[in-house]
Amino acid sequence: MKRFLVILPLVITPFAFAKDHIITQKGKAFSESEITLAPGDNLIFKNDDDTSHNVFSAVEPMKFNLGIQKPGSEASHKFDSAGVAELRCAIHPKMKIKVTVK
Amino acid sequence: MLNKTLKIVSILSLFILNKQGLSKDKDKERLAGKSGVTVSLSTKGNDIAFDQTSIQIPFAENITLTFVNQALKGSEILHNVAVLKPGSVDTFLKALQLSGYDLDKIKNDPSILVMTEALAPGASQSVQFHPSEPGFYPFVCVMPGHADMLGMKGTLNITKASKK
Repeated sequence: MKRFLVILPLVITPFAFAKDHIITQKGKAFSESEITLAPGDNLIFKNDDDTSHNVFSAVEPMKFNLGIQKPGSEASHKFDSAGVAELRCAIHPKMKIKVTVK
Repeated sequence: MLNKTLKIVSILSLFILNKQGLSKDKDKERLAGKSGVTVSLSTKGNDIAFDQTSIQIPFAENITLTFVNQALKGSEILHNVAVLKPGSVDTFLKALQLSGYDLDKIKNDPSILVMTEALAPGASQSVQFHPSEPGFYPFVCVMPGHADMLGMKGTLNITKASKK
């Protein structure tokens, strides 16, 4: 039991300090061109445009697809694994943001 | 003797000119795709998907593919279509990701048989290609994430042409 209590904080600690980072989509561009996160951090994508967006990453182990995101809405993704990925919008080919998780 | 030679030269000239004319006509026919097969493909409205994922056509030397981006005009969703060599879809999609989904960089990829431009909603384009043999020819949309993440791809099954 004592050993369990010692190990538990070590397991929880990295995620206990997980942060939320907000990325705005406006003028068919992300508010940042790159961002560095810690494992467990969230990226929150706010669509401040008057058009839909569709954020995705095709790179393992950070592969995900947020789907169609309508104007005024928010969508988030949690990055658990370390790595580097280029996130893009499936609707607007020029929109991209480099995400590093370490 | 001179008359006879002139006659032979005239006949030969006529024969050569006629041959050239026939060859030009054949070229015109080939370019116009009259002896070929026509395929129509479009998108599923605002979905990031083709309206067909499996198309079967008989083999022809000339295949004309007409692609229409049916996305609503305000949607801003660009699409295109690239027809690939049989069995090359996985290699091509990896190369596409490495290129950063750059149409200028990927357009000379050896897997591509033919590719349209990136088309705005409502736009269409016809392209011709010349398959060497029957087979399963993959087709994909090259826009970021459309084929590799959202599955915007399909197969053109070119079968042996039936004998008439």
